[in-house]
Amino acid sequence: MLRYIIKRLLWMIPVVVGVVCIIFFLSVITPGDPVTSLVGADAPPEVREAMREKLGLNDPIYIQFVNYTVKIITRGDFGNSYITGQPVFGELMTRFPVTLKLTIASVIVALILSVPLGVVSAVKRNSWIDNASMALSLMGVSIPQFWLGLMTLLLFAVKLHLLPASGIAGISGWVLPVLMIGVGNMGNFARTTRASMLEVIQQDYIRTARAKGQTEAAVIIRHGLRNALIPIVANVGNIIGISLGGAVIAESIFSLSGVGQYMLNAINARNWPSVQGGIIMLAIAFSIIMLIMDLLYAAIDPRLKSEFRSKGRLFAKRKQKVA
Amino acid sequence: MSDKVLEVKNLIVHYETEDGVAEAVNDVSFSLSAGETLGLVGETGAGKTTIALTIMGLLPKPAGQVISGEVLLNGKNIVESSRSRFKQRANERMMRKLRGDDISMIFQDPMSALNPVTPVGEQIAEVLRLHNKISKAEAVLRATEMMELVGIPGERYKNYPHEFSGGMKQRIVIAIALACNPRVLIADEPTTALDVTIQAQVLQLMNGLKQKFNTALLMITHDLGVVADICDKCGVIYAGQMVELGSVEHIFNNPSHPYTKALFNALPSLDKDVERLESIQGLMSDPMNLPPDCTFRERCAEKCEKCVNTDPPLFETEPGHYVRCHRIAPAVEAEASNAKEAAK
Amino acid sequence: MKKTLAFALAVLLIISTAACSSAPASTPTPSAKGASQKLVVAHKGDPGGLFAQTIANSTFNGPLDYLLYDPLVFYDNDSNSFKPCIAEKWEQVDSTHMKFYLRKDVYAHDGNQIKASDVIYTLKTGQESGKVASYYDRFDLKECKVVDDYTVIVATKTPDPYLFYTLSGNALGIVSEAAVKAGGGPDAQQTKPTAGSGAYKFVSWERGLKIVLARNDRYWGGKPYFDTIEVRIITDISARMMNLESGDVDVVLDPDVTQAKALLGNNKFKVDNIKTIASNMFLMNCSKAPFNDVKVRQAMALALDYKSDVEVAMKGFGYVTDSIFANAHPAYAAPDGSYTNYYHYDLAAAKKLMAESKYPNGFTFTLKYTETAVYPALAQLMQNQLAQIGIKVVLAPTASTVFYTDAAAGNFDMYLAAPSFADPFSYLNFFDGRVGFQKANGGCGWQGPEELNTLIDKAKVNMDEASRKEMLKKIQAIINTNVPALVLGSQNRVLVAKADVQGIKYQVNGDIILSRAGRK
Repeated sequence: MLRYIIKRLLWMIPVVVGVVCIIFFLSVITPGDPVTSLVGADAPPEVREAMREKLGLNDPIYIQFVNYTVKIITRGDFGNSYITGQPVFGELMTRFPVTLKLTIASVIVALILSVPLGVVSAVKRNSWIDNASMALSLMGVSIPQFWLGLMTLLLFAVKLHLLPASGIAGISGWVLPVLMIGVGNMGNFARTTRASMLEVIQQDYIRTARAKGQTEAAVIIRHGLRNALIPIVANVGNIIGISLGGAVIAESIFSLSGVGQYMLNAINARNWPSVQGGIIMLAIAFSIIMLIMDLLYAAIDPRLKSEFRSKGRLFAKRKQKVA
Repeated sequence: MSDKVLEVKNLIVHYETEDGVAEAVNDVSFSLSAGETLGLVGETGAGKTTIALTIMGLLPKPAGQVISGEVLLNGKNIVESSRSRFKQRANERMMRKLRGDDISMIFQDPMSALNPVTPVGEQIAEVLRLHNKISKAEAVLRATEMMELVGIPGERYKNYPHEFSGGMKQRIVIAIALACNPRVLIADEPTTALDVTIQAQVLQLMNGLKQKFNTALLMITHDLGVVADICDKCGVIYAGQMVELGSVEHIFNNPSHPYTKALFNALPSLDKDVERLESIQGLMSDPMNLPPDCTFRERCAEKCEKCVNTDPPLFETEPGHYVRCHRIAPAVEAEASNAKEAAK
Repeated sequence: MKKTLAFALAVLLIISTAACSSAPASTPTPSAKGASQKLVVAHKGDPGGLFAQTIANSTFNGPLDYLLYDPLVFYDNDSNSFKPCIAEKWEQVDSTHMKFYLRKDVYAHDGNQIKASDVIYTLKTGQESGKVASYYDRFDLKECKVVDDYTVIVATKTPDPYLFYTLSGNALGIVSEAAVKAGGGPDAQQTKPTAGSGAYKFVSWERGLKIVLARNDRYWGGKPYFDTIEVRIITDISARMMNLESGDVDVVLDPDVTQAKALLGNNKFKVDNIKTIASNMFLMNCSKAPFNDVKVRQAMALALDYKSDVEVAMKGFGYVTDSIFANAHPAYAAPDGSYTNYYHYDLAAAKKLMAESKYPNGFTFTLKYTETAVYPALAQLMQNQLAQIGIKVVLAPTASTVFYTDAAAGNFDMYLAAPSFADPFSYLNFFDGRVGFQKANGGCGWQGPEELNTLIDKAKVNMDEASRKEMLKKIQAIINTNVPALVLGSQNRVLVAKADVQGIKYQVNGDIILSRAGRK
């Protein structure tokens, strides 16, 4: 299995190379000039030209590409932001923890809220509980995030003064943004859980468990939920992967310094080093998340373990051939 | 009749769905003594599995509902025909203690009857720990014993169901069912899903264990061969009714109901040379819409005017042999009047 | 066993990814004293950098620049005049030379004293960077001279009647050369400024989160009121306002005008509403059809409902303009009937002119604008009103990077901007056909009459206020008659604060000065 993990980690290299190529290509064809945001709209043409020269924007694109990749490979240097002149890597690393915390916390909150809801809905199918919780989760999915964010801000910060309106100095500052993203995910997770549980509780092994004289709760949780987890975990993995790209709306409403606003600003300013660095980091993070999810699948469902075991062997065999 | 561990009396079960009421089981009675094996035969949809699930208290809720009748386990009623939620729950609590302990069930498809994400040993240990106050280690020990008993090496305790073949999975299902040494074992077509070569092994294993534990066995099957192999008694179910019930000898030597006869005619035989097997014409009546007639009338080769609008009762044609057919009635009545006259 | 291993590895991976990435720059926070006074300001975004002298000017910078840096002179919006700052007095040497006498008690935040040579260093650094060209390009560095430690001569390339407007700008804060060098040069100053002498000094900057400034105890202008000023970055416009209402912040810069209007009359808050010199301009590309037809341009100017547009788009936080210069601009001259002015609403006249033009059946053009402030609202209003004279406007909201590139390349039919140059001649570059799109970074591509060119050249170097004003009036008359651009209102600088915050001042271009703020 270690082999499998190493193999998957090695696979990230072509992924990242592909991402770098695509982003470079996009930076060529995207209209807009990063120099504008650097020297200002009223800078004389000579100054613009000098700035282009300084940034290396006048080099042919393949030279720029080689320079960029060589710097990454030899020095781990993702370049400096056009706007701030700071190393992109450092800038991202101060922001990534915020996004990671927000993502993990909101997913946990969403899971805590949604899994019981989904399970109860499936078990009490078509009851009022089912209808109510599905209506709730539909609302969670369909309420616009910015609206929910502003309304909770209005209620908890402006009217009730229970929570701070901005700043994440303490735990209390995290409550609203986590809740805002969590509620959106909650609806999604609850529906997945319900659908998956509905399928599972009709399986024969659930009847077997009942025939053993097992309590209903144990039947549902131990025999049912564990089998229903795969689609839920898959969904959670996707959501985490997407969320790592940043929560632009939550960041802008609750004044969080996350990856989302950073990337948005970088794209708007055509700040290519930041965009490229950010996307490479996201590609790596996404690959790692997907690897973790695959390992989790195997931990949940032993049938899937054989899959990566055989992949590991394939890898070993090829090595033997070479030797 | 204290040796009767299981007695089913006038059981009526309905499935109440949005589309209507399906009369799945209509007035079925039979009994089973310790160590005895009763085969329930009938085609798909006849209500055999419903009977088994009713006894187990595992009728799908809320559709499945016992309308009337009793199921006595050691003389104690274990079904609740009241719709009161309170009584239903009380019954469920009681059944939870009995299931897997006094009464267990083997399901049709071993491929899906085991939890795919739990090691098989643990699945056996689970039922042991539910009904016995034993430590985890002891449960593991006894589960391993059970595995050995059904012919699976104990070191495979930690293996998952997908690592076993169908026959071995069924052995594990049997081990789960017999782990707590139940009084009554219900086997719902335990061999249908298996290869023919494995079927005999599994049947032998069940029969052997049944005798070892002196368990009463209710064998649900559509295979008369299985009945001949291991059953003492046999009941034939048609459209939710017991149409014929008797000892294996009664049924095999003297099949009296036209349906039973038709079943035998549909069997391939080694000593008869037939070009085509006979099949029973028509389809079984829709349980949603049972006719007031004898339910077999439409397909019956021997139907008469009496079969219209009246459902025949069970007649006892010889001691312990019951048949539900108007054709039998005159003979039985004559016999009865003879007996009366003789008494006079 | 294997299952637990898989689980453990998964958990390990999660933890390690978290650990690798969680190295947030822990920044020192000012120690909270018992009676410490703190001002929390909500701002819409991070500034580009904190060394304004070498960074593209933007509205994100102004308020911070005036806290960190002091310029030579201050504009006082109460008396409408320039007041001493680092320079305590000054005298005119000749038309291009001005002598400044500096205070002797001005120290940069790192302790270096600010002297005459630092003024020249500031001008040199700014000009060499080229990033704030409209401010720095005017100085003639060869002629600038240190007289003694506290006396300096500032020279301009040409006579510059509006020099003080430039000198009081936020990009003209004087920096200590020694401090800049000790602090790692101009680039390092962008993130960790030490070279200014403003009332507050830099403490920390968490990008996207907040910038913390602490009181400069050696400030020459007396002890500033607040111990700490925290500029909190809240990108969402509604959330900024809610932070004020919840009490989390004291001041909101760039509030939503609708929400600001709702707070008028609420005695817990005060709304500052300050006229600015910037008018919203729709610059037409007069170098090509259809805008090369003057009748079309005049008809369009007459078709706009100025009064109601200002009311609708700016919710009253603005005023109607009737000349290419906003009424508050120092160069503004009111139209007096000596020429035909088209900047007023007269639909009948507009239709008549349109019928006489080369396009009696109207035409379609594209309007480019950035989606900030009141621009989207103005663009829509113009679209509706021009439809009345048969002109169809295609709205094209454009990302700022693309927008300015297009403007400088002349790649537009019409674009919307609100330049805020206090120096009218920077402004007039847009209307001077000799300058061109690229040099003016936009403009109208309009070739005015020779008379206009002569007037501009003369007025630019005319140090005599009365005759210069007369020239500017003639310039406006020519331009207003020819309508190379539409002007549609000047938006006020709006600021919302808790009622007890006082002492907030404004520069002539609307920039906010918080350094003298305090509480009642």
